[in-house]
Amino acid sequence: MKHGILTVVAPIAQGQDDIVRQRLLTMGNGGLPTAPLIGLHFASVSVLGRYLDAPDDFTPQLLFEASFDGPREDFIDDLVSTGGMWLDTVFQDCEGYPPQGTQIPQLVKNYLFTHDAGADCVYIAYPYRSVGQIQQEHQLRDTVARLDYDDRAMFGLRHLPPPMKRSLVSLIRRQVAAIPELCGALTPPERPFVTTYWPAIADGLIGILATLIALAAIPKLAGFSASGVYATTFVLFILSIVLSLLAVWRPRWKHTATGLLLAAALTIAAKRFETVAMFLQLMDRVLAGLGVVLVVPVIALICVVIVWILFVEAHEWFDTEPPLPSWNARREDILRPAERLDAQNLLIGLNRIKAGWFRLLTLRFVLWTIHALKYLDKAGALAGVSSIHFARWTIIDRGRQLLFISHYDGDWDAYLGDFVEEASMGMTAIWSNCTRFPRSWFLFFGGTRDQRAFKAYARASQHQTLWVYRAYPQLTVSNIENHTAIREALGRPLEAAGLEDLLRRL
Amino acid sequence: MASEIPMEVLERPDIQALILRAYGNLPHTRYYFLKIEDRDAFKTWLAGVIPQVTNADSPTEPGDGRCALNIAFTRFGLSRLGVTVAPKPHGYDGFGLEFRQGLVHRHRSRFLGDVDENDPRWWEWGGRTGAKSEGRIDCLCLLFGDKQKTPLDATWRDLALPPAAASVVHVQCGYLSRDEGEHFGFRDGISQPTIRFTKRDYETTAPRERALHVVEAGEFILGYENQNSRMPVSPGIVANLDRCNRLMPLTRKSRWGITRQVSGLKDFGRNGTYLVLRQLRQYVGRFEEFVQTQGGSNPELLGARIVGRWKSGAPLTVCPEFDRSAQNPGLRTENSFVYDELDRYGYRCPVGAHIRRGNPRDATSVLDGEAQALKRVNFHRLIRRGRLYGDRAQGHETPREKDAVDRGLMFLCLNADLRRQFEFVQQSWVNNDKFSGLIAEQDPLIGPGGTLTVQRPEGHQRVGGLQRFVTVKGGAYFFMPGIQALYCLAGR
Repeated sequence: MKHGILTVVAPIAQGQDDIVRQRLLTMGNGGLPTAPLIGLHFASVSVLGRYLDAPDDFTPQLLFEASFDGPREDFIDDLVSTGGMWLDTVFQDCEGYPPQGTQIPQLVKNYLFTHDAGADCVYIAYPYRSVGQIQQEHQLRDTVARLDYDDRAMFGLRHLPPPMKRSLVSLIRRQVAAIPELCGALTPPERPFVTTYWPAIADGLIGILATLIALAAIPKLAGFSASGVYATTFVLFILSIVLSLLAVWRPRWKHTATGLLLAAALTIAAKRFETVAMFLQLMDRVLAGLGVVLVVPVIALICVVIVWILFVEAHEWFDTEPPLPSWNARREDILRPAERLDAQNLLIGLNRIKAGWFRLLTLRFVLWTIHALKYLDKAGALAGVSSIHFARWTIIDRGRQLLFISHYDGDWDAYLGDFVEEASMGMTAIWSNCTRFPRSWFLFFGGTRDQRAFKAYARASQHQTLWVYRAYPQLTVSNIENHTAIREALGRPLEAAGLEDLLRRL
Repeated sequence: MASEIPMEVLERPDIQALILRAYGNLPHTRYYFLKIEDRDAFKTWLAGVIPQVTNADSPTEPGDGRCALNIAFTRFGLSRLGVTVAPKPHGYDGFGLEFRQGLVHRHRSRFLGDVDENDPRWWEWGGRTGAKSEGRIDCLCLLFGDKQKTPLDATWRDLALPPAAASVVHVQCGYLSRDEGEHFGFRDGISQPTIRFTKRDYETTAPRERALHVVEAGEFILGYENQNSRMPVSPGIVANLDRCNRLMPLTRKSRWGITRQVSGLKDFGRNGTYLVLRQLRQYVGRFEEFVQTQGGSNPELLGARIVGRWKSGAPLTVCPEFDRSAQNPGLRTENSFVYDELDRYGYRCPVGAHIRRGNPRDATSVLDGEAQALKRVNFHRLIRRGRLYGDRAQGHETPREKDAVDRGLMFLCLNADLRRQFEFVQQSWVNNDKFSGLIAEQDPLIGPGGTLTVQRPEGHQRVGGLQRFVTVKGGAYFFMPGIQALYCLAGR
């Protein structure tokens, strides 16, 4: 099921922010009914108070954010119809919130819709996995880990004869199937089309591209003289064999190898059959045209990006920047108590975007690119940052401020260390458009590389979480991935290696 | 050839020797915790003592019955001597927040695992209450000597600290045992980083060894480049405190990457470092009893799995089934092994074992290769200079008798960034429930107890019933200044 997100940013009536803060802190987890919680992964409420560099007309805002299964409309319907009391308590001091509250549900729904700031860039560690699936897989792992199959120790798995290994797995399967809550856990989970098939699609595309390039190049290289053609096809043939050998450990080259072989075969066929030769010449012309149509815009785009980055650098040189923020003991005392209570933590950061349309446009483009890249490769811009459950960037306040919300695993220090080490370029490209960020070079470099300064910056722009809901507070991203792998392993026939892998995951 | 080695990169005469030397030839230690009573009298005494402070260029054998002496200060001590510990208003960071707040601080204690039995309330010194915690600790004097040649007590008498200048709040003895083991019987202090520009750095040539252990000097000494290719933040003092103009001006990099002087401030931190001292009491009886009852036919192996090394020091990753150090003595100090290659899944050395938590080496190689994994880990290295206190337990004693005696480790570590190094190791590795994909367990040796998962190809074995084998009895954050900065503190 596709995930939805909600980022409600609503102004608080003047002078009421401290009251709202107190109320949220004392509210605890109570009040929110279970109906909207069924598909709710994370939710939190905080007050975005005044901060360093906040715009002069900035008044404290209430932030309610949620990540859930299914579309936004359904979630809001659920929330308004069953969680009316809770919503009224949370929002009662916000400007423009209907005075009758959820007694007139449509007004509240409209209010939430109009104040939803959405997101400009979203990262989700486990797209398409519902709360139910995550919890069920967790239970599956716990059940399987508890099962008593102690006879394995008598032999040592490596020396276990294959039939016994198979019987061990079927034993696990039978025992799991006997538990009613785990029914369905042995069928493979729903997977997004792109994550399942993207490697195959990418390889196929590379193969086609290689074939086309080879076809376009052969006639030119060989000049259609007999010896030339044979020499070129021979070279292609050898290349194809080399690639096939490479494909043994890099499967990606498989399609390329096939493509080159096909090209070689076609070239030889063209010598024999007139129609094939004509076809090839036609292809040649089409390719030439296509090349111009494709290559020219790409080169143009690259030029624009380079010039753009140079402009960013020029801005970076001439921006007059206030000094970097330093570590603040009071802030630390406010933020630390809420951390490390669960396996997961929450970071809410609000920053002022540097003035002018140029920075805003740069930021929008960077966010859009990171958002788009993520679909191509799960390890896109947030490569290696495996500790983030849900993260999002939202530009709010008519393009003046950047809101960052992230539900992450483990310690704040380790998390920001991950950022700095793994995704430094992406993060620098985003935050270098905000005030007081450590000096960046050519949009992508520097910035977060100055670990201490970056952490001080992140701490200074962080806001306190007043109320938080987590559906599975004890699970980290790697736990969740592990549980899904266990389920997938139980659902398919296992060889010895697969069995060892399964046992390792328990 | 030797002249080509650029040894002069480190300003050795200005660096207190403890940073670069473990004083292996001076096995006996006294830790003197002082409270400054009279500022001027203390400064006079300090000025007289500084020539005896051992720097990295002092001879290794102190001779003439002399001991090695090193001095460090807490935040109280520094502000007592006129150094502003708070940050400057213009955004200048000064001493790190961690140092300014100190080791005993409610959130810090929770993050570092100083709760329950480890709570600073019960500490003997440095804590919130307790007999010896009453006196505020300002200054730490460390004396290292050889009992026969250099009697420590006599040396301390010779240093002649006037009672009016400072009172000795607490004295603790420490020593290195002859077999280099700690109280549980395991060889300790094997894995140390190799500091850049030291002799060991020039001697280390194997590429993997270099990648594993060679760490930039700025990770341990202020004033040099760190692993980030940046200068660690160095605390500054007001220029008029530096009466004899001994210190360099404080510099900062501007936005354009140009190094500029900060007007009115001197670089107090140069060649200094932060020092963490924690007194860890070890319950030898509890540990041995646990290993005997839970270890079945092979208690030695269970003990080794908790630690990650055999008692001899041989790593489990290299010899997983038997301690082969008798045939191959080199294994006792073996430190160039990596986990991902030999032991990715923890079949040899459990993933949650003490030494694997303390330094995961290349454990994250799966992400982006060994080089990157080692680089990541080396942002969090510590120089450890721990020593034992209390007599070793005798074999014939019952567990109860063993636990009745206060014995353990004076854990001492040095680093340039408390938050990124000591605190990170403690909270993100040692106390981390989810370390390296584990589900819910903390360090089996120094954690609060619980479970240890022993990974095996035929399915994991969970060893339950771990207890708290080690408790914290005291601790504080200190700053160990360079020699010139010490003179400056003494007002000379």
